Amino acid sequence: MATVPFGFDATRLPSVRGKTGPATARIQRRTLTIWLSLCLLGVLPWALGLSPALQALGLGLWIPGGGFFALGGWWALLFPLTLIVFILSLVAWFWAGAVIAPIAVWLGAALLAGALADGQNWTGAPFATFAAVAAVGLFFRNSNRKKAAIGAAQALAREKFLPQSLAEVEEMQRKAVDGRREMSRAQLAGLRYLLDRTLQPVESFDGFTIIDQFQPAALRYQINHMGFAMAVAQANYVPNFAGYMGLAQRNLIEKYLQKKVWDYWVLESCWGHLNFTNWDPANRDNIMLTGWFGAHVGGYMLATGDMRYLEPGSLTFKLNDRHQWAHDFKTIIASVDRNYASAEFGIFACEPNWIYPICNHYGMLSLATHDALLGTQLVDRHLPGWLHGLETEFTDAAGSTVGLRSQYTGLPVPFPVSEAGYSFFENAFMPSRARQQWAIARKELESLIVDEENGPRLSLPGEGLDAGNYRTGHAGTYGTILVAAREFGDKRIADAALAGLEHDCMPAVDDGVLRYRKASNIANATAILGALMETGDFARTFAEGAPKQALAGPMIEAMDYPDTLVASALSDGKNLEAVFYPGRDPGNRTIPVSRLEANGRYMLKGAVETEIIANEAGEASFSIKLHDRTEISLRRI
Amino acid sequence: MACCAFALFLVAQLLAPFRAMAKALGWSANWVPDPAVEWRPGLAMERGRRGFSVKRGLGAVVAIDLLLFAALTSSGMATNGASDSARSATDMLVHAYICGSERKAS
Repeated sequence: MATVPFGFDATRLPSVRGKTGPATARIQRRTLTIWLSLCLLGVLPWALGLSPALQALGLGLWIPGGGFFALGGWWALLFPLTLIVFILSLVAWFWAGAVIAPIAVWLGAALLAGALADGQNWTGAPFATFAAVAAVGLFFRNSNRKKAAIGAAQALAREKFLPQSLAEVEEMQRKAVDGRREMSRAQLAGLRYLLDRTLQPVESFDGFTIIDQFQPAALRYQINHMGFAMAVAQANYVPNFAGYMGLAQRNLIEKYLQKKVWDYWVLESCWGHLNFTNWDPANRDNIMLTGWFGAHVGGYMLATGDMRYLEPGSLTFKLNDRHQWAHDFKTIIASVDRNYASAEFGIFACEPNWIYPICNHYGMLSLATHDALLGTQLVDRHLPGWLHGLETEFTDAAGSTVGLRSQYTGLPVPFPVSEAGYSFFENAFMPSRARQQWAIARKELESLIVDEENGPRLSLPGEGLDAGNYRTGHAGTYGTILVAAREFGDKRIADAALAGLEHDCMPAVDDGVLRYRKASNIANATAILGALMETGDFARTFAEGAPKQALAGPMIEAMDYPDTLVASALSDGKNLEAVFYPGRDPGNRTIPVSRLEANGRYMLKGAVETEIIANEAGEASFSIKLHDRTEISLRRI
Repeated sequence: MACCAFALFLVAQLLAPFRAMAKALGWSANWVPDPAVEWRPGLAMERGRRGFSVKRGLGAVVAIDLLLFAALTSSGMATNGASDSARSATDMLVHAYICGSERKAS
């Protein structure tokens, strides 16, 4: 967590909200200069009376498809069609970092118009093109002004309710849960959804959504969110259960290293950075890999105490026999560190050109895990610039974070991430701003809560969009709100979000495994994460990890999933208390334990044996009759 | 030739969001289970028609776009002076496929 003393006033929104930041302004000026130069170049063929082909090409430089006006008649209809293709090329740029797509469409249409020009051009063409440019400009100006006015009014309303809402959030956070925790049957059913998928062979991706590897449905995001949920379960409920819980999390990390998960970067490097030789995924940009995966691996190490990913080469990305990049947790975080050190906007890009503040929340989270594991102060080093960039370059008139900005043009793009989506991340490295984000979110969600007989229910309007499979659905949003509400101890909204999930997302429990059928894999993982959490769990997991004392104590090594389920396992460093459930048929189970004192004698309660003696290696096992909830206690004699 | 090829290319792109919108509005299909979420250990994962059709559709769109773009560029460049006989076989094939073999392109 940050140790830099911030003068952050959570009751106020950034004073520079809605203004264009210095980096954005500089890049936008550069974009405008390039465009004006193109316009000037486009005018020359008309001014100098050059050939019709050059005149058509010239108008095509003003605006995509503008050159078709020069051809006159029905040809002009190609102008709006080109604009549509241009918008689609922007989508391709956004979707997969294909920087060349819009350039190809713009210049391609200009060249085509030039090639088609034959004989006399239409004399009204320059005026028609100018009118089209002016119309597009006016449309955006009016739209921006409207948005700014609505945003300014929203900001005033927010500053009015913030002090009260903040006080309520602080009060809720004080009621944090302490001591040994135990997963309920419902929580275990959710965890089993993850275990089913993570305990299959590393190269198998059954139960994962496979559509594309560029945008939100990509495998990498599913893997990371499943890893986050498992780290939270590990650190807060079963820090002293290694066994299949540890194996499942390592499988996820190994899965991430499979080529199909990360080789999107080869393409993005080529068509985005025009880099055809070095496709190291942890080098330039790509915070969607380094930040997310860094936080995932860091979370695993903090939750388990297993430091294997600090070893050089432990996270090697192998493309083929000739191309591989040997990394480990430290080198991946070093990439985040390096990119932040040179980030003009204070934060840096995912795909070439596209800067997403949400990915930079994962990025800062990854630094927090590094600090917690290795005693560095990377958060202190980068948080001031990160926050400055966020406030000056990425804050709209309402005080909300602009979801996406183009690094090369400085232009913003609508991308929906709410205050709730940012809040729980910030709780791990900047709790004061985190509280502010949640204080805003909870008040603005209130109007969507319906009070029913069984309690409050969140009812989101419309069909929604599940970013995890590009289908309609609200599961991802409910899940995110649930995670945030639980992080801040906001019981009313957490209950409402959970009720929304139950009501709208078709929950089903088969063979003791919970899933939301109207939700993608990543939305299920997020919902399960939320359902596992209690107040402050996210921050605790990624900025502190499992209790150090617990990690020094005995470890349950059970590998018989799903026969033996572990709902709780906590040590005080010497003794161990645990709770088991049968996952399938009831019966006798053998529970192996490690990290006992060599040759130490232990007294058992709740097991078949009443006493066990560890071997030289500090290992022993005991038996339990597992019919229902079974609690055991292991004490050093 | 160039006009019809380019127009079709543009129209195909133009229609894509409407098709997606129709689907989103439920005009084309009811809710179908997500095979990833329905999967359970021991079962082979059903490969959802949707996932594969998206992949295939994307591939087809890219392939068609590339073909049309190639046709468009070659014919566009050749229009000012080249005769039909000078056009490439691909060019003629695309034209015949899109506009009919007997029609004269603009």
